[in-house]
Amino acid sequence: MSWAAETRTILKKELRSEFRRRWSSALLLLFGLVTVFVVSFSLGAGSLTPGLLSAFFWVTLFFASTAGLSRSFLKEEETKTILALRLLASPPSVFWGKLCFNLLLLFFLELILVPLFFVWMNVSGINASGFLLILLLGSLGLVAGTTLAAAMVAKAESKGVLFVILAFPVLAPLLIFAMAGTKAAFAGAGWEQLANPVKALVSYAVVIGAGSSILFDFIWEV
Amino acid sequence: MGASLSASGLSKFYGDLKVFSKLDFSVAAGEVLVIAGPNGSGKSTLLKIAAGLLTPSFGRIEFRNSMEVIPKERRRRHLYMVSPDLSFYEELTARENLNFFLALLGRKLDNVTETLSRVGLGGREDDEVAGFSLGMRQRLKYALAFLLEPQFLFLDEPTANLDTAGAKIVIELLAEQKKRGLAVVATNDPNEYTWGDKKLELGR
Repeated sequence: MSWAAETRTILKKELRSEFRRRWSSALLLLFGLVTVFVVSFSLGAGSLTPGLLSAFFWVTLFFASTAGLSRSFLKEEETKTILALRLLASPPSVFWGKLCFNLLLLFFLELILVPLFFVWMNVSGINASGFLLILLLGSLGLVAGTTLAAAMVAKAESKGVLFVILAFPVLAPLLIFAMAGTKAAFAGAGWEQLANPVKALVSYAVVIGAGSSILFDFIWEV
Repeated sequence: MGASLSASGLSKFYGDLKVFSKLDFSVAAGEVLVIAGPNGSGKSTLLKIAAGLLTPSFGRIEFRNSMEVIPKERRRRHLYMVSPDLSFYEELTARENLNFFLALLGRKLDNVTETLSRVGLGGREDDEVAGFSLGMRQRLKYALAFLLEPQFLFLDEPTANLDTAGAKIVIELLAEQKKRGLAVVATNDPNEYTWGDKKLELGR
């Protein structure tokens, strides 16, 4: 069976499991909605600068993804299904299957969260296509980094603490570039001002994606 | 000459704690090796090493198909393990679980109804595993073994949670396994020692 077909099989299983139990989607959505709602309610719509808005937007996505996406491997470990997966699935297909599932989950959150964020925070006059590109690239990097960190901590004793320690240095550069790009897009800046964050995010997604794919074999074998 | 398995100088340590050391054994096609020993003697660890789920501290284990050595990355297509540490997805049905694991190896689920009937789960194909008892879950593991038809079969505490009828399923599977490959069984039940053509005793 080809690598792509095996990845598709794992993605289909993840979607079916999530559809039946909604472990991660409910957690992601709850965290995202509550955070945006509480901040917009306490600070008031239209009172934040593009810099604060972009920081707030990525902090919400970061914490929602660490709360929800980090469960991808943890659930397999807790329910002992990881042994069958390790026995019968190839490591790259497990990594890419989980990554694709996490990406779909994050897109689902963004589909609901972004319109609400724009309405509740009264965001207007932005470079919409620039924002969407930054959001897409940032999401790719966020999911690749989170999936790898989740795989690394799945077997550890203090999973929560270790996840934060591992995820922070991996995801900090991504958040810096994503916030810079989003800030420029929220301020309505043109493509020339978005070029550097976009290049940095593309590089980050390629490096983390390729690095994670190689590293995952070793993590999975341990 | 069919499948064969050989281990030489196999040792496992967790830090300073020795689980076992310098084990040598071999299993030829058509043979069943029984690994016996008290709790904590390393039976499950040895089986997990053989199945590629743990790395030995020292030594090597070799899988052969006729004269050809099967490389580690291709072994998963040839082996299967039934273990108390192995679970199926509770939120999926018996059919969906079997279908998923077969699909990972590029195989289609053809005779699920007969196979599930064979292990005493007839009519439960479309029930979620969450509603299965421990014995039924163990039977489902054997259903996958019948469907996968692996050359190398590893059974850890094979009759755990099974009644007398369930134990007959294991005997039936081992009889089939001897025709297509080999099996390694880890147990501390003296009644099950008779299943083996060879016995490896582990102890502290």
